[in-house]
Amino acid sequence: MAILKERSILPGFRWSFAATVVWLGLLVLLPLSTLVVNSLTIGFEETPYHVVSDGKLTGEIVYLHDRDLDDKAVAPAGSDLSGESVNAIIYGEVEEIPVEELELVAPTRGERFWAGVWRGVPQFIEKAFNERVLASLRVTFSTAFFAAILNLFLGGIIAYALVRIKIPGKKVLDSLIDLPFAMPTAICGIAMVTMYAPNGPVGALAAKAGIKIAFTPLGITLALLFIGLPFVVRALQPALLDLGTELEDAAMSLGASRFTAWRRVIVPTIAPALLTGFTLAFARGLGEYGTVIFIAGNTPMKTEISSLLIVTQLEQFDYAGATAIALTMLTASLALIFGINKFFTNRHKSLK
Amino acid sequence: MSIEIKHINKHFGDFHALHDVSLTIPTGKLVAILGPSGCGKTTLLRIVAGLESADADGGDVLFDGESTIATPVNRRRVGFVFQHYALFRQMTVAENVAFGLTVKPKADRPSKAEIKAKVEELLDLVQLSHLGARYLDELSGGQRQRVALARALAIAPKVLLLDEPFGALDAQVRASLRRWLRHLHDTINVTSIFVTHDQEEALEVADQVVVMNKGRLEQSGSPNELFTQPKSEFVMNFLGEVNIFHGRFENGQAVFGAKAAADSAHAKMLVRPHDFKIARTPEAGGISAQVVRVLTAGSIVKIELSDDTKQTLYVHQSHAEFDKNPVKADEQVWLIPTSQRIFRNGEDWNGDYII
Repeated sequence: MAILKERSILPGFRWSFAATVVWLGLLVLLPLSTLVVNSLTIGFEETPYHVVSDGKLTGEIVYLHDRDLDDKAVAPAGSDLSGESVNAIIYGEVEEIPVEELELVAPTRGERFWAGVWRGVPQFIEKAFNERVLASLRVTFSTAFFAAILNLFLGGIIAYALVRIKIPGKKVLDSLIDLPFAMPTAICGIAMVTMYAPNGPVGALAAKAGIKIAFTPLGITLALLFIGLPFVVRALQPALLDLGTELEDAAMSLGASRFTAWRRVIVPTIAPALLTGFTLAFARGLGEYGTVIFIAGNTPMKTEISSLLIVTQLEQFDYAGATAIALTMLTASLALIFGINKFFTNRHKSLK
Repeated sequence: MSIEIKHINKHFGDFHALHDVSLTIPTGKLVAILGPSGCGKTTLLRIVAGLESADADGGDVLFDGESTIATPVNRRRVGFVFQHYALFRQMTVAENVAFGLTVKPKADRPSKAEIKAKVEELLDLVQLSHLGARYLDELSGGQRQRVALARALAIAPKVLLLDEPFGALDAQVRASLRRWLRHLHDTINVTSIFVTHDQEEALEVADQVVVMNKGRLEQSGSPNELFTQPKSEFVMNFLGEVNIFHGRFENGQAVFGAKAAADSAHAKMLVRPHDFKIARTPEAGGISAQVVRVLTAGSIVKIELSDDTKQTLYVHQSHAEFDKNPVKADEQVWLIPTSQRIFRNGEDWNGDYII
């Protein structure tokens, strides 16, 4: 007897899921994994060669880049040096040369590997955790965090106003919220510098009051505030719409003041949306590049953000260094965002 | 605690939601406000609770003779039960019930042990003492509404206000919950108002029923009074089933049936389905009709008929009465109203009529 097959959760789910996973793998995981692979090559950029002098191994090892080998006579690993002559590579050609003229012997695969690991670890640590990198991480994370926290309040109030208050032109205001999404970030950056630089209209006023905005962490925070706002507003709007006024009414009919009703009932109810908004704004702030570089001033150790430092490394062709910083940042962001989510869902078990 | 509602008006923009509503509710009574959706009944309840403000034109709400119109909702001490429960999702059942006690100012707040004891007592009262530690998504609709009721009772309210409390529940649960509510009210004896659009619910539970229509109070009285002596066409039509016959007035007489123009709506005769006699031969004052269906399943026999204007009519008979003279589908019969009300422009009209 034929039995009705259990229904798939979506029509054509299996194949589309398979295709999705493949694409995700190619578009996201593969590039991300190259980040790891690339930073693992740090120790392998130079190869350890045995130095030969007068036809004999000196026991000395030199680390050379491939491009430095051109005019050197290198014998393959494990070559017999006891004879009169030996096969060696010079200028990419194999030639038989007298053993006295031999300069280097290539390492075996094992020697190469272990030397790479041995030298790679300290090099990675040096590139990923040097003072400049740590300072940039400090600037990036702290400005993104403060901007996200501030955005939570500002965005919360704007979202609430957009949901509850009836004002003419609300639709226009609502569309304006999305502007930071749509605008090229460089334009935002230039606009902000014009405003906040010491000779700009707002910057001049602030300068009179003794506050420097542009080219300080305060400027970076302001830029991230602008960039992160739509994330918070858009995350909160549906939650607030869904909320209605009933819960507040209920809490107040039970004797709570409006403030207590908000603290004990409304905020916990919209906590998941608050958390989402915060995390999105924070994550965006960590990765933001275009807006920040204009207003930050990019002074190493003070107002240099990690993304910029990565670009700087790339411009110096230090790919391994760039990926090392990127990997550190990726790990830190992932750990932090996961930690925040975990912390809050644990506190609000019922909201899982 | 008695409630006195005096000349309350309410406008929402241009919309006049409540027209000069006045109503007195004696201490300890359970009163139902009944009306179709949009009649202003919920607005009135929210004004009594203080969740909505009335127009500032001298109207007032008095609890035991004391004006409360200027008291904000959180100091009015009313227990309010919402149609969709409005329970706090992130709290357990017990935390929900305890809420009103935990938000009291420090000076009046009971100790933790006292709160715990009170919560247990209330959960016991609503028969949910075993569910205190649960979250709300594990509860059924009926259980949730009982939690909401316990939460409202925790603050020892002066009055209990229920806004369509069973509106979101299915028919069987509603029926058992409303009996339970009546029982509960008899135990705790708090002056209560509940709003409903379900006439059966209002008639079954309340001591006093208030019928509202289009922001006005139509009639107020005991369920029996409203059912047997409706003051207006609206009340009679809204409470219980009726058959409506359209006619017109001629020489001081109301004329119905085949002699009346089909589109004439000037005179209306309302007859309850159980106020008919069925005859097999033409009789003076009888309405000629064709039997369409006979439903004998149930505590009464329901007969569906179609009159000469193809209007559907309903007649209810007891099984004993039906068995004496059973009618069958497609039979031609004459219906003689044994009790009827005639209305002229919605108002009661007493005079001769012919069918």
